[in-house]
Amino acid sequence: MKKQIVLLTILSSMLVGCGGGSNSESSTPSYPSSWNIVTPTGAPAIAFYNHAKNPHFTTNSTPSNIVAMMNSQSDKEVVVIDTVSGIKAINKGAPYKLASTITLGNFYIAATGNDDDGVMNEGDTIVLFGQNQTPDLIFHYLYGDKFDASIEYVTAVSNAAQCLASGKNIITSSTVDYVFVAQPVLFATLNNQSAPTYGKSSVYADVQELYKEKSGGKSMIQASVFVKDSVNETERGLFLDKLKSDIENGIANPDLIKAGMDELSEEEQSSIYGIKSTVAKAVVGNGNTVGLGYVKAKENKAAIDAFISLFGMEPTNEEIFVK
Amino acid sequence: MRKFSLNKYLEAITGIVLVLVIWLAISFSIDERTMVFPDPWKTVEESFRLLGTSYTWSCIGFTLLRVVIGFAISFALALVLGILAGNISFIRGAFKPILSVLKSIPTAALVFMFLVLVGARRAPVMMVVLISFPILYEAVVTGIQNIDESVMMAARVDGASGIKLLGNIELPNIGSYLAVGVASSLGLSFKIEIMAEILTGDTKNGLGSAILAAQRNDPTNMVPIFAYSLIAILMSALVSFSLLLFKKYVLRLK
Repeated sequence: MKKQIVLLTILSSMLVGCGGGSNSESSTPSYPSSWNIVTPTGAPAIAFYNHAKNPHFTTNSTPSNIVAMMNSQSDKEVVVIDTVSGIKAINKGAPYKLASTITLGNFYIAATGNDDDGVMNEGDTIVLFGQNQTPDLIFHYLYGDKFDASIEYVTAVSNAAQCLASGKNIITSSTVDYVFVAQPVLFATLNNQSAPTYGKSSVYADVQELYKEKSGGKSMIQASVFVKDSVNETERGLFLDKLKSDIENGIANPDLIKAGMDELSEEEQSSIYGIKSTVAKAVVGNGNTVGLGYVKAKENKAAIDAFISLFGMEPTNEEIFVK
Repeated sequence: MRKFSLNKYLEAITGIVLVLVIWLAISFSIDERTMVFPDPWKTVEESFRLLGTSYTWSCIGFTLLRVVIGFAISFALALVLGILAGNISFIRGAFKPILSVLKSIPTAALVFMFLVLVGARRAPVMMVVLISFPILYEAVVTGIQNIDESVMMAARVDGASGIKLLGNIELPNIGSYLAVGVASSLGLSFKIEIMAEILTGDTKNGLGSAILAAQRNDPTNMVPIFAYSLIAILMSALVSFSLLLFKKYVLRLK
């Protein structure tokens, strides 16, 4: 009887594999290639470098629009979104489960080169993006409110990058000393030879390291993978295994990331992934500054709970995790 | 008294020169031109570079396709419902609140609503439908209401059926109103389509997606954003000009 069950399981896995379009040539079982995946542009999208030509893979540059897709009518089997927003959506009834975290922090504080003593002191002008959102809350978790008098807020990371490149806040016209910014935009800005701060600007602090120190060794939690409740468990497992191996292979050999993204033109790469393949390869290859990784969410519950507590959220319920 | 009027070409050239002068004045009054308000020469140069890539053409193609699909749906709806409302006062009255809502509802709110209802890729099409429908519908209704009642009476006395009245009197009469409606709503549809593409955040092909990608990839360089906008203006003008030629051709046939 035991043998029959094992045989049936193997057979059903093989049948599932036959349904896969791009993977149907090999005998390796796979999830259905018709699964719709949506991810934000930027760091999390890099994890899907093997999906450049997948018509069911889409990216969206507005995270709140992705959260809006987490409803029962949604055609998205897989949604990648910042962990806090995803958990909030589940708590409000979104039929998804938290599977894994794939970006573990890509925040940095950059110096524009305008501060003579090179040390972030009270009175130095600091630009943060996203008031009351993740960057703001993490900054205040790390530094408290001692810099509040000289903090200037901008809307998005792209606006923060403008401040870093020009050394000025274009909106307020004030001279900027430090900018809270994220990869891969940071890499592009520091290497922008036409920027007025080129050669002067630099990375001042690695926010991930500061967070780890302050939280007693816990990692930052950014984008996570959420899978729709209605999908088949075996297929879900196959999808997550493939994603895990893609990410691990990409980190070990960033040329794979470049090769995958190079299936698209440079303009398409910039549009769909939010960065060019050369930049993706550079940021992953150069110490993985985008924080790409794969951590099973259920096994990382303590770190997730610690992170979401910054946002005033209650610890997660076991039921929201993929087993 | 004869009205003073300049040659129409001179008017157009004066308008273009004026735009360029204002553009240059703003651009040269700003220190970080590339980052804030690029000058016309850099913009034109970048436009030519972009037009040399297949990506830009696919963006233009997808945006135009979505405008055409949305506009065609809107046109068909406006024609059918407009003819009904033009002839039946009850339907006209029943549609008034709907039209008022459609005209006053914030466009951005509609984008987010459609984002959830039909997804990021189809939302811009729905936006075009909803934005152009009231204009086209009203053009049809006005066209029918402005038909001389005595003409309709005479046709009825001569035994013309409803279909004959529609084909021989109503449709020819609404043509000019519809042409004005099309001219004014098509440009608007183009703008709404691009705006909706940006708001939905969808990254696959479209001029709005291209503008968004350019802004995201190098926030310190506004030149590609201006260049894509210039391309969008030229495309919209080209479509409007083609429609004008088509209208002239139709009138000549008549």
